[in-house]
Amino acid sequence: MKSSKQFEIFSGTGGVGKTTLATSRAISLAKSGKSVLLITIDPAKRLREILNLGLDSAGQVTHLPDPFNKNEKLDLYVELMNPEYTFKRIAKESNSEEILDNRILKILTSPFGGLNEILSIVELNIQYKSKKFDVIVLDTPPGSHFLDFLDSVDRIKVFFDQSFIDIFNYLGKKTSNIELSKSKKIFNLVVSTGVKKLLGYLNKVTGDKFIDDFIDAILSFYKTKDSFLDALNLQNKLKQSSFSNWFLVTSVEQNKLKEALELKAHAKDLITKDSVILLNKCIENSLNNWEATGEKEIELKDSLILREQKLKEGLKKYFDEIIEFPEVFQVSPEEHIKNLTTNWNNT
Amino acid sequence: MNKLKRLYIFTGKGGVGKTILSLAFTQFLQEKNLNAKYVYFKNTKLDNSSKNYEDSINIPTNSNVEKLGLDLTECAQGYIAKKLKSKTIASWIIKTPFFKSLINMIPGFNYLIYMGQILELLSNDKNLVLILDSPSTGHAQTMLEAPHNFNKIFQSGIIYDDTQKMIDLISEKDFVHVNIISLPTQLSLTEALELKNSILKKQKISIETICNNSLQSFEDLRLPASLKDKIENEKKAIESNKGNIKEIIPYSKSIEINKMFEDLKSYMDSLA
Repeated sequence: MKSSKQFEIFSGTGGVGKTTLATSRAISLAKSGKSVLLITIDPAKRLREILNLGLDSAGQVTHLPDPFNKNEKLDLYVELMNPEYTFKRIAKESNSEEILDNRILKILTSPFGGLNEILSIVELNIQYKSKKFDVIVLDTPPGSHFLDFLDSVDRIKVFFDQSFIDIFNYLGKKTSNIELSKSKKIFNLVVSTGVKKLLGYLNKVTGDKFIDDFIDAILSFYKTKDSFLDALNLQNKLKQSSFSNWFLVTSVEQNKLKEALELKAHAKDLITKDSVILLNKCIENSLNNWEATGEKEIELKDSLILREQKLKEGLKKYFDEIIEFPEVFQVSPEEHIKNLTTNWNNT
Repeated sequence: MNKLKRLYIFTGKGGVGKTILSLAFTQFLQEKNLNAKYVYFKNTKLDNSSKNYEDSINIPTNSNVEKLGLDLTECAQGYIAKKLKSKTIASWIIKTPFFKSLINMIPGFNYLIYMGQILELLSNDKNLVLILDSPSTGHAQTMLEAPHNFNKIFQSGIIYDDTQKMIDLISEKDFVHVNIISLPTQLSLTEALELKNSILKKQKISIETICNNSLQSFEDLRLPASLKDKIENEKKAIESNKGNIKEIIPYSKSIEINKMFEDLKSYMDSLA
């Protein structure tokens, strides 16, 4: 089996079987005796369906010693990433649970509120630092969401290091003593500093109520900044081949050569140089055994094979290693995962 | 064909055929002499980032459909300029790191800006029909939820009023129609249904699932076991989602895009 690293990151173009491949990888590694945590940040919650997890499992680490009732005792843990839960956790850690009542932060930390990717980096870091697991397998959201995920590290930096430096320099160490109800006063202080003009214009567009709550939100957010800044350290680890295996997943069915290549191109500064492409749902081999007779049959066979070959040729130019997974038709998720697990063992 | 709407949103996971179908649909409307345009987002972040995934939607260049790419910075700047009645202030605000990180930190905000721009285009030209090829599933939802979320966030002021206008417009009858494009697999169809329900939870809009790339029409050929299995699986998936599928579009053997459009033509009515 392809040797494992501390982080195993699965990313891809969506609907390509990324979650099933990540799950089968996690199970293969757990079966080889490793302690494995599988995290998904796919808002579609595919993992929950595959592993029959309850609705209340979101945000929790669940031990799954025997996912398919085979009397196994695996060190396998699963977590469905939930931004609200992660935010609660860091609020607790920084002893500022009152910030959870902030109206704006509540909306932003809801599952489609927009802070998903940033909070997932934070969550990943929390689990890494717990040192409970040999391997963390991460199933990232599809396509451009995945790039948001990578970029989020940069955004954390900008958010805490540059854009608010004026405000926070001014407020200085006082932030910890400021009561949120005094935000109006703070706003007045802020507008008397260098950012006055900008906030003044913002105030014009957005109304008073927003500015008040926004200042509250920023201050609240600032209280948790250590968790966010700490997560930045993770970025460097994710780039090192000694720490991370990156698997970019695509499938024959969805024929997204360009999308996969662009993912790689955009992510190149953020991921390891030796990323592997996983090509799922290959049918070329089984089609080659088909002795098609009749014009329409030959036409269909040729078209399907040509499509797959073009995809493979394209991928080979850009990736040193391609691992193929055949299309499997067993209906039960258990059979499906089992099949993929066998394929992993052969790599 | 249904009464024509003003805005068509094509959504679904990557690689299910959103781009081809929305281009084919735009061409179909243009051939009827309608003022239809294919719209896509050039980027989802403000400028000055080397990681912008400009034109990440790969638009086949050999089609002659009229296309309109929206740029986030231009849209945001235009909006602020209009509200503050000054282009200079707008260009200054947009360059401040504070504003940039505000927008980039809150991904929903960029979709609010795009949504605003699209609605603006539609209200400026009453004959215009826009076909929006939207990014992956989660993003379409973020976009449709953006006016609601920001409506709650702002509570008063100009942006609040605008989000209210957006919500009213979107929920107007015959204004917007969403086509969720799915592959003929259980997983893909389940996700399409989840997306549909989750969008409908927030607002009442017209929304249908289209099942693309079906191999069923090849069923009567002499096929190998693997393809028979594939078709069998497909039929089961379609059967169990029957009430939720508006149209089944067959796999096109054509490689060239204009030939593909030809193959798709007879299914275009069902996307309207």
